[in-house]
Amino acid sequence: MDEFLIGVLSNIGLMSLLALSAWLLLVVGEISFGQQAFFALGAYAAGIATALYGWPLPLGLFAGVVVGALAGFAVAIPTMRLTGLAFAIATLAFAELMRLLLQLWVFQREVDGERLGPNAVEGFRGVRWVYDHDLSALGYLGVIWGIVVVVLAALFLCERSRIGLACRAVGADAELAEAQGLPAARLKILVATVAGGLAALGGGLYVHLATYVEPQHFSIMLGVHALAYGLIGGLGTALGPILGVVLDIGLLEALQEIARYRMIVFGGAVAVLLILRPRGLLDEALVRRLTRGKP
Amino acid sequence: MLDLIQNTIDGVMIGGAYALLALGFTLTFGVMRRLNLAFGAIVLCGLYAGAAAHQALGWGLLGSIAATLAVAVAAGLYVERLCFRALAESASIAAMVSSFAIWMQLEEIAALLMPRRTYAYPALSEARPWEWAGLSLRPDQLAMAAVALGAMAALGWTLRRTRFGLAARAVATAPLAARLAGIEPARIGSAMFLLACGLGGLAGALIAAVDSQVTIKFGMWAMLKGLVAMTLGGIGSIPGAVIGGLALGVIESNAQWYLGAEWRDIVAYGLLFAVLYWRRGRERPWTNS
Amino acid sequence: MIWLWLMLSSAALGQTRLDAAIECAATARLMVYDCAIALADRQGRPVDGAKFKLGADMPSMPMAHNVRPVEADSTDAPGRYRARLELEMEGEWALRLEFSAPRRDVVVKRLIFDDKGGREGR
Repeated sequence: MDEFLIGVLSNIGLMSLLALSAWLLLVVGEISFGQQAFFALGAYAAGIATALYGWPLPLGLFAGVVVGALAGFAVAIPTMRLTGLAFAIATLAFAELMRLLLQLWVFQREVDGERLGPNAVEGFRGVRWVYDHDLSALGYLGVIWGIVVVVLAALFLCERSRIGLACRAVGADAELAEAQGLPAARLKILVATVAGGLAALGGGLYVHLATYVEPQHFSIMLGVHALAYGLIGGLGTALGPILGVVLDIGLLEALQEIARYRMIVFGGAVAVLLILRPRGLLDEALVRRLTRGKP
Repeated sequence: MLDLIQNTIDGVMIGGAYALLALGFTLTFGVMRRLNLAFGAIVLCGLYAGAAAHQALGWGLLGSIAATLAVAVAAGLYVERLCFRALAESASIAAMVSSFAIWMQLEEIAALLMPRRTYAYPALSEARPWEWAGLSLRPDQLAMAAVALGAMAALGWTLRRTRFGLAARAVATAPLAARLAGIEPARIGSAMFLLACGLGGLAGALIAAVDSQVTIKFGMWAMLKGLVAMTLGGIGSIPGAVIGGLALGVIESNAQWYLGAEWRDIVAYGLLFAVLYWRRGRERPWTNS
Repeated sequence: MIWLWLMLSSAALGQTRLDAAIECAATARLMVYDCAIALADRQGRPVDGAKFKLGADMPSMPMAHNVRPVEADSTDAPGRYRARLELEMEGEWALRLEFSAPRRDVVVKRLIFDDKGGREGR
């Protein structure tokens, strides 16, 4: 397979995890401008684990997920009493704080005669596990998409469970759901925790592909893209955010002749699409129609 | 003490421009209950047009500001038609994401047409700073603050004394009643949207003229400053936007002086988070003026 | 399967790492740059016979704005290579050198591009 294609497909998989993270919160009716912060935490934590302490990649990724989920939980507690725009801006404030603090954070160790680790604005270089273990680009693409498929399968199972139904009810109308006895606040905190872990998983995989990250990577641009992919693809199914990512990165990256104009074409297309389908391509109504009659 | 006074003066100056940006968000949010993420990009388009007029046609300060305002309002019209008017009132998330997509689009157009890192913008004033009792005052910053203040006074007068202002306030507080009284909320919303873009363009022009340059990053910067200032003062409140803008300017300049440049934004965002938590993000009525 | 392999596989393949210095000059065509790359090992000895592609990412938007990587050509000078790069806009870019020889590796360098060219730094 062409190297460039492998790179693009890897990016689609990584971005899908971040988009799924933003989408999860959209499902329970919250807009987050800050999922990039958990992506960053996952990247830093997993990178530190493998590059500085020599952990194997799976353990490093797991460490990233734990850090991301804990952070998601910790942020959810104070922000859950906010709604709408206030919640969105609180998540933005948290994410920018995280980015700015990473710009100050230096944590380096000597590894093999080389100083490695987060170095403030210079970023975190030398996360070379994939290269040191001679894992091919195609192999790593397999790892990324294997994980995406597992995550999707888990989300599909959840969707059919009682928790999934409860989340949808909270997303449709939190007050009504609460009146029916659903613990709306607790469900939202649970979802925010899972979303934090999911974004961190994406970040952990990303840093090992790129071999380096820097705080600038995690600006609001990244988070709002993830949010947009979630809505464009559709709120009805977990495949929605992936469709959103594929449409943007995949389709338009593939058409190299128009790559220079890609945001012009894509931006306009998204605006028109949202006029026609304000809840995305694969919205709840379409998903219901497609799955009707099945057990 | 002298430092504190100097920082506060500097903060109030830039805070005036922040307040205009915050008003840009508040005006649209108040009437439409929707967030325009393309706001920064709209301002950027205006500024690039002003810089282009300056560079290619040799226009001076007033000409460039006029070009900035005209293009900002034109870009605003485009965004309003495509992302807000065309969507149902209930589709507020879709409108926000749609305006984000157009933000990307406008920024890409600006970068394609003018790909250099920086563009010169006519300077507001090149006069030397005035010194007085150990304090210094830059005339261009003073001019920026004065124009911002004038624009805010004019806005206040418009909202209180004109039929348009009355209708806008009616739509903001009681949309249904306003409709019954024969006011079309959509038309008021459009007008308010364009007014907000004009204010944003003015704020952008003032800041660019003080810096005498503009870069592609200005759009995102303006959007973040406007959002933060609006939220600090209480989402949706007009006096809140003004207070939030001034407060943000004063906090930033003091944090920068006492803690260092790298802590300036950390303090601002930390405070923003705390304010949201503390006030539970309550949205204040728009016309609490 | 891959998972199992990932868990079991260990021990870095201890090898010398590469270092690169890059400088790019603007060309007559807008946004097209001629880049000169000097490769050295950790002891500062020039590295010849390397095969690598030069790509670019915008740090402000990771995972998007991929610039299709171009193959770098070797020159007569020891450890010196060149490549012609086309970017989407001026500003900060992270140049990515993806090596296939002497072994699979990656080196990332930060450059700032303007109308004169691209220099390392922030």
